Amino acid sequence: MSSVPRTPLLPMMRFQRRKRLERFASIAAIVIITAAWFYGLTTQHSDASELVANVLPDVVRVVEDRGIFIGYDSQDSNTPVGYAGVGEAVGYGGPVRLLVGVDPAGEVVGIQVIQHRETPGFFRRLHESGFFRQFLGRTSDSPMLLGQDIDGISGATLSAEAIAAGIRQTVYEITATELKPEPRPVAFGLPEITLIALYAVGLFSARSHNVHLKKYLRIGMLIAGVVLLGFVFNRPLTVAHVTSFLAGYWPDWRNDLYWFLLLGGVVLITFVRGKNPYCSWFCPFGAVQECFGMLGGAKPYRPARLNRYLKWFQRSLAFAAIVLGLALRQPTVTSYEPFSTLFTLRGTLFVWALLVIVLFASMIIRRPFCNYLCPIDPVVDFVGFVRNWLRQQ
Amino acid sequence: MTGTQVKTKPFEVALLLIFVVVCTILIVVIVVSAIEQNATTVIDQSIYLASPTETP
Repeated sequence: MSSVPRTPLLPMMRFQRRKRLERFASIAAIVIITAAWFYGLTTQHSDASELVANVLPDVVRVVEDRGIFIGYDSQDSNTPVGYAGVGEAVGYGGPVRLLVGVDPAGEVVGIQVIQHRETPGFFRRLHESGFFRQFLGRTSDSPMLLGQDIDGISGATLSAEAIAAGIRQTVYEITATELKPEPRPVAFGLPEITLIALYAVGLFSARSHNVHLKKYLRIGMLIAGVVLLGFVFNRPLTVAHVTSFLAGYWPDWRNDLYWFLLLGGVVLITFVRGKNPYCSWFCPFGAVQECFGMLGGAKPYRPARLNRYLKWFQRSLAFAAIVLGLALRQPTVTSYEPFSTLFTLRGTLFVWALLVIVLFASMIIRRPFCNYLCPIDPVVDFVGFVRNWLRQQ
Repeated sequence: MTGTQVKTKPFEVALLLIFVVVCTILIVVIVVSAIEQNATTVIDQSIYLASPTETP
């Protein structure tokens, strides 16, 4: 058998083959994500009419009229004893759907959560702390706003806001006086200002040619990221933001402008400048890993042969988290990052274990979670990849 | 994952692989338990009920 010497591929051919593979993988990823989106959309359902008796206890017969359930206390009665309607508002992990019962005087007499996608532990705290009961007896004249006549629950603010908005909307609809616009002005406070300032400083730093200034600005941004985005606001960018965005679970921009600034800013800057602003500038968890790295003298581990496979593995993890989150219509359940546990000091045993291992590893390997496991880096890389692809066309 | 290529020793590669494998196992466990917990939550809707007849 004659042996034919194999001609090694030229570097340019290898590069072009890799680029073709990446483009094919990108198209396949978009197709699968779209399929997961349709699957999740077509399999979610809930029938609220069966639950009306839970929020209007004396009701025997229920008639639906233009989306409002009208309750009667006997089969023959024509005098309504209450009304119920379904309210929906977007919380942290997606829409929270509620059934709200109102008596003929317009007072809230019952509330039931039909469906939610919030983190179970945090959401359960709302019930255990009596949050829902604060709404009983309220009418459409009540503002039903957190910080005014309703007390919020620490650590579950977004879920509480969504519940209040859903109840408010339903009570206004049922009382049928008029559909009042949201009385709340646009929420623009310290979190939004901090985020805009971080983007501005990051962009300024990127344009600066002064190496020392860039270094000090980056340290300042990382500290601000850890302290403010991490411990104070506890709102770092997670894969749940990406999945919620793709699933169409967009919060009301007036209540949660931060959500749009965080996600939109990262995507926009990556698309315009071709660089990931979040991970290197002010990711709080990345900054914490860097601190541990300084303590232990960590160095970057980039094995030449394995590097490419590890990168694809990280992309696969991110892809699986997004596809699963879309198929289940539950963005938060596949958000495996240990950020929240670090900044709130709350979490399950397994998340704590992951966090401890990552922090220990950070003392030896530079930013191990960011470089090998974090789902945000591949997502932002994908935006940059699409940008470069479009520019080449 | 860009920047200067640093020569990585074999034991460092092994350490890195152990880190990735252990963390991946934990991630799978975290996601599976979260899905199971959330499925239970959606089914047991009665715990999120507030009405005058409810026992606090």
